[in-house]
Amino acid sequence: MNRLIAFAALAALLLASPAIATTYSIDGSHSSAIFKIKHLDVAYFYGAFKGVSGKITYDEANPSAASIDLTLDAESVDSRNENRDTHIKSPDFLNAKQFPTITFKSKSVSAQGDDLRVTGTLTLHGVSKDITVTATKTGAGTNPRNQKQMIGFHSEFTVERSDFDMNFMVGPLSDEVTFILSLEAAAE
Amino acid sequence: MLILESVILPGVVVPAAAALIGLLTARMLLGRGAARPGGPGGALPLGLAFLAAYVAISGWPRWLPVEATQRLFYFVAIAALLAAPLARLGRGVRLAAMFAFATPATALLLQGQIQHRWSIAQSVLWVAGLGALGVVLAAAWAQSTIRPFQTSHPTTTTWHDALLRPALIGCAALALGLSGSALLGQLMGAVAVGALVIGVAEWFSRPIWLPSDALVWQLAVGGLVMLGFFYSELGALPAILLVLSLILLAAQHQGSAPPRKLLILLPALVAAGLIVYGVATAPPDPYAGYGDYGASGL
Repeated sequence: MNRLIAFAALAALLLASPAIATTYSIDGSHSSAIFKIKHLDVAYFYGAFKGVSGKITYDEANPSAASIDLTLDAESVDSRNENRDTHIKSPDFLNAKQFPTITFKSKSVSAQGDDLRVTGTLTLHGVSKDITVTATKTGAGTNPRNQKQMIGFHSEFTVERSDFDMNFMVGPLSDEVTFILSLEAAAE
Repeated sequence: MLILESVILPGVVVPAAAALIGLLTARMLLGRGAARPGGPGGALPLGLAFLAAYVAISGWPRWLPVEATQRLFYFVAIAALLAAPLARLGRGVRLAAMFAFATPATALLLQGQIQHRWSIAQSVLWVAGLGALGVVLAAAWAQSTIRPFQTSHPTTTTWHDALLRPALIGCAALALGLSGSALLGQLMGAVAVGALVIGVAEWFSRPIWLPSDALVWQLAVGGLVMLGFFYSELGALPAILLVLSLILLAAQHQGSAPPRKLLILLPALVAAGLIVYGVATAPPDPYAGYGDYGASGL
């Protein structure tokens, strides 16, 4: 009997595979990075960053070990008006030629079901600040074309642009900027 | 109301008041100029006009500065403080000192380009070249402030002399605003207001500008044009013509008739205006390279 128990324990130990986190590359063409800002305290205006890239590391069995390294191309901002795009990229706001990327790098994650509380460093306009955002896993599956594992996350968070030294026209344009991210990533 | 609060107050009223305060302070600290050729200098009022406008528009810049306009703020402040010691140096030493300060400042202002776009060779060429251009601007400035008989009979400033610098800087402000950056345009406009206050004071009183004011001039005006070219969408031709106009200030001489000065400067101003108009009305170069949905076909 003791030998049977020992054998079963040994078999369980050998058969149990260690949790392996999967690294996913963010698919820029199927991900969205949108921002909204209030204009003259009247209505929200939406724009987007067309350049989205980065990596997500995620383990279904251990979501708290997840990590994200996200990069938005500041020069890819698109507000559906070329003159306004030029203005957004100018030293008045993003100064995209001096700071071509907006990055978020996670430092810690706590999981609550499909929701992840992600604390990380947001670097925007040359200023780095720790923020905590909630990201929701929106789905996972297999790409039928290439059989690669895919995963999706959605997050919405608000920052004050004055915290990142973007103080121009605070008032006519709100200080609060909300980012809405929908990321689709494929396993590497 | 929005124009009053966002444009006129911080971009006109505040720099005008700061320039007046700077003029009075310079006179108190440095004397009425009886023993100094040329007067108390315009570095402090011009510098204060720029700094006050910056704070009114964007708030106090962080320390340590990370962004180019924040760095320009502190460089102009230092340049305004260095004007009095620089005035005591000989011409050659003064120009060398200005080069020694302005060239590293240029490198720090262009840190974004150096870090993300340029090779080491390109960085060295751009920084050295712009530093040398700064020396030319400073020498031209020094030449334009020379007054005959300045030690005992300072020449009265005519109305066109008083308005020429503000007019040139005003053109630069317009060009920067049209280049896509209202902030740079407003800051240059504040410099124009400061120069106008000093010019009017010169017209009613006695000469104020000194050769040693060139460093503030170079950084505030040249620095903003440089930021407009490298970080906004100020085109190469408008930038070159604006700098050329500033250099051509050396062509004016006290006592010469206005038509001669206009003959020298008007073509540059007209050409700059035409280029600015062309930049303003031309469709901007669209940003390309993104939005390709063909990779996965889904």
